[in-house]
Amino acid sequence: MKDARARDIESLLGSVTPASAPPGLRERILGAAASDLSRRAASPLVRAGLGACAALALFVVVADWALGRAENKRLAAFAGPAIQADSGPDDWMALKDVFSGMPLLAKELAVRPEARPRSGLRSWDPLKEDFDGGQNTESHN
Amino acid sequence: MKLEELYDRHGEQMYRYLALRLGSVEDARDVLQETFCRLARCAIRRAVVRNPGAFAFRVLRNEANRHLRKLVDRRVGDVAARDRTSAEGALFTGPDETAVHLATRALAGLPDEQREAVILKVYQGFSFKEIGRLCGVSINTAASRYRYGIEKMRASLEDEP
Repeated sequence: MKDARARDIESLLGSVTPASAPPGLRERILGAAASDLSRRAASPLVRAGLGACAALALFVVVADWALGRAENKRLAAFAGPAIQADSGPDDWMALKDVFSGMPLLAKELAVRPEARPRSGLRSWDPLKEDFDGGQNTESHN
Repeated sequence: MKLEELYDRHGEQMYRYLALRLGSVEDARDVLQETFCRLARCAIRRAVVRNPGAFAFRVLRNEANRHLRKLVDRRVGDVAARDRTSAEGALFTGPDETAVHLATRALAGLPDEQREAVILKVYQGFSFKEIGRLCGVSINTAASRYRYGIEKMRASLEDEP
């Protein structure tokens, strides 16, 4: 029953069609969109300025890289083949040493109680405690 | 998709949605123009979206909502009442004048959410899933809005002298 009554309304709505767009609306709307876009777009002068800035930034990056590379080559030629321009592997070895030592340190801290930080100590505030007669406070820095 | 192509594919449909939703052909023209200006500005997003038509319809709906909010802010008055007086007959065409009159009045008497659901379902041919996605509600909510709208229209037509 309810569906049948709903269908009556739907048939009423279906018997009428929404009015179509008036003629000339397409041109008006697309013209307005185009003019809005051109009004908001950057002027040729601003566009040229932005392009010049981007080119300058790119030039600086490339020049920095090229100069650095040339300098490294010169240093390598001066000091001999023992010094490499790229010290990457040495850095990796140093990092490896640090990280390989960390488990040992942790083990030592676990075994030796005196190596642990003492708990229950009062915190030290150099501003409150004038331990060296005011010679090394923040105000002198 | 180019703006011209977008208009040729969806412009008419968008205009009809706006005219029925806002209840005024003048407002529909203005809001459609603003929508296309906005679409022109976001050309990159328009180019990368999967469904430019759905994207355009979402922008259109946002513009329509913005326009309705503006009307409320300006305290123009009850939008539905304004529809009944100013735009009657201009929104629909049909061989039967009485049917045009009844449909206009019945649609204008609905709350905005229900009216939108009825317009999208009956005149745009959207499914409840599509209506829900467009309006940001669940399918059930979209279906409920439509059903309540139809019920309210039926009641208003029964009260008609």
